[in-house]
Amino acid sequence: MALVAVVFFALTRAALATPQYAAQAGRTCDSCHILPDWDTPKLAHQKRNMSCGTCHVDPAGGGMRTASGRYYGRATLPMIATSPRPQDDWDRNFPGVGRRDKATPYESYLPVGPRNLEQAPAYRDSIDDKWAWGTPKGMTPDTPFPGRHFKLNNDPMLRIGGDFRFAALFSASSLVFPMQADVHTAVHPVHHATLLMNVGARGQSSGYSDTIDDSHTPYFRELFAMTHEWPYQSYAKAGRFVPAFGLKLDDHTTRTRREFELDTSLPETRVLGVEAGFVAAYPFFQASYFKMKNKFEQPDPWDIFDVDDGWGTAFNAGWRDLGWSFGASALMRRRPLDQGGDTDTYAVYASLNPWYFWQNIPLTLQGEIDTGTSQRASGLDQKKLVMYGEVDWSAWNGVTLLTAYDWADPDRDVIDDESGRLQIGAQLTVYPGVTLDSRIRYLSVATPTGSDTDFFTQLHVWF
Amino acid sequence: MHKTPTRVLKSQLRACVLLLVIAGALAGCASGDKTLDAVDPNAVALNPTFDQVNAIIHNKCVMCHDSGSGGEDNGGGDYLRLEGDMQPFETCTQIVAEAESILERIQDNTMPPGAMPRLSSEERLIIQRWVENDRPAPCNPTP
Repeated sequence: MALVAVVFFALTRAALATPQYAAQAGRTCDSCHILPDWDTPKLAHQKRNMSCGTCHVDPAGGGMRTASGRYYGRATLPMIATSPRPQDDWDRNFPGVGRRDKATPYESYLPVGPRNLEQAPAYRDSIDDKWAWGTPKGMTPDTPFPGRHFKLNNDPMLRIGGDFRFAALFSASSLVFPMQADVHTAVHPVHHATLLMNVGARGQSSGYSDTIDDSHTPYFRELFAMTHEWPYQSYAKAGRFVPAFGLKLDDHTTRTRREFELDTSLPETRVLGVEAGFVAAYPFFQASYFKMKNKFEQPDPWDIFDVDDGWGTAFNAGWRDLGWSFGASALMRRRPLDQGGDTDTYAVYASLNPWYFWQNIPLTLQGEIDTGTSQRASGLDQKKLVMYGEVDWSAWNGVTLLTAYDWADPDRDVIDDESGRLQIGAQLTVYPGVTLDSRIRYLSVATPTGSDTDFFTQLHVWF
Repeated sequence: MHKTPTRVLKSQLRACVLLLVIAGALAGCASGDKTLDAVDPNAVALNPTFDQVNAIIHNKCVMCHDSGSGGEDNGGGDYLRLEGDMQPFETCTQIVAEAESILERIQDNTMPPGAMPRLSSEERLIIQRWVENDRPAPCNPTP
């Protein structure tokens, strides 16, 4: 088992990992911007980093996307781009889809953006954004201004977004079920202030009717007020959220999330608290203090103040460069034993994108190691060890082949409870906002008769 | 001094190798050699209730072992189809009747199937003790 873990960490990085996209985006500036030479902001105002907050409104990652995230989804990610493709990707189009003419000068017939705020008003009329409206008061030179992301509204007063996933699992039985249905709303009335609301369903693998009947369909998955875009991309938010910790993979089944009450698909992972930090170019630091519902109950769908006696705190810090990153996280909960007891969790994680350094190596790697303790019902400590690794190969634009491996020993004192899961699959993003992710998964458990394989596929529609 | 991309990449690769060595060392550390029952007899209740067992079955099994089991579409527009020989575990009577079979399949890890997560040590011990106590349940009051 250890050998297998080492081998896959050696190869590794990518499930539906959005951190994967972050690591990949850094190799070309025009993944995130209309290219030409703009006036570079002062370091304190640069967003030129691979932190989650570059592509997502929530600095901790996931959910509603920023203009940069949406532009990446239109220009870089899909087979068929609806925004100008990054120049270095012009010869990486899927065969028969789009041109393969990297030699064409970028400026020949592609749109260019404004160099600075003074030039921005000239681009306002070119904005054509179906899901964003208005402009907040208080625009300053460090505000994202029109024209930097083609036709997208860079800094809207109101934005609507969504994530919908439909999944199918084939093993001894076959399941087709709704996995996610989230509608995001961001209200941004003035510069530095945003209210983010994410209303979603509690997806149930038992089917559509169980999902619709669930007491948490719909519910506030996130609801917080945030002041942000301060120097060095510092921010503070207060409300319901999932604390920043480790790699926020959107494969919520990875043991690095599930073993530590961080499975983002579950209502019970939501906490009520405050989080503050900065996600600069390139260091980052995030700290949170929170209250939570007891481990055995889900918080009220709408009352974000429905919490119990315990409290928790989390820290997440590191360095996210353009071609690599490294981070460490710690999270602790303190609560009565009958509410789940205390937990302490520590993580180190890293990513590497050789593609950033050498254009002929379209690989991306990421991995995380978590360890920690929780309390059994008896009060004794239960020691855990979990690892995750992933490697992606971006074969063409819109086609990513991947392998991922996660391994967990949920109780270091107990025999035969460890298991490892190998995934091999492909992500096809044919058109912006439409991703088909399919993978063969092999679960290896301590009892040889229990090891088994299944096939999992999901359609992810997002905007 | 400005670092070349190759130097940066090499240093990052070294960091990755270090991470791998740490991962290997951690994973290689011998895990426990006792069952949960032996490690911590009080980890779960000595006399688990049917409600505790039912909660586990509902969360981990009923997504497949529901009333649509037996080869029929379970209806309701769920598009859930099951193999023909699967037993439903939705009622107390069904769970009590299949208790020993359930315990056997979860202990050898053949259920849940495929790459779905297996039951935790605590969940297995709850079901084991409930079966050993003659499956007390509302539908089986005097075992």
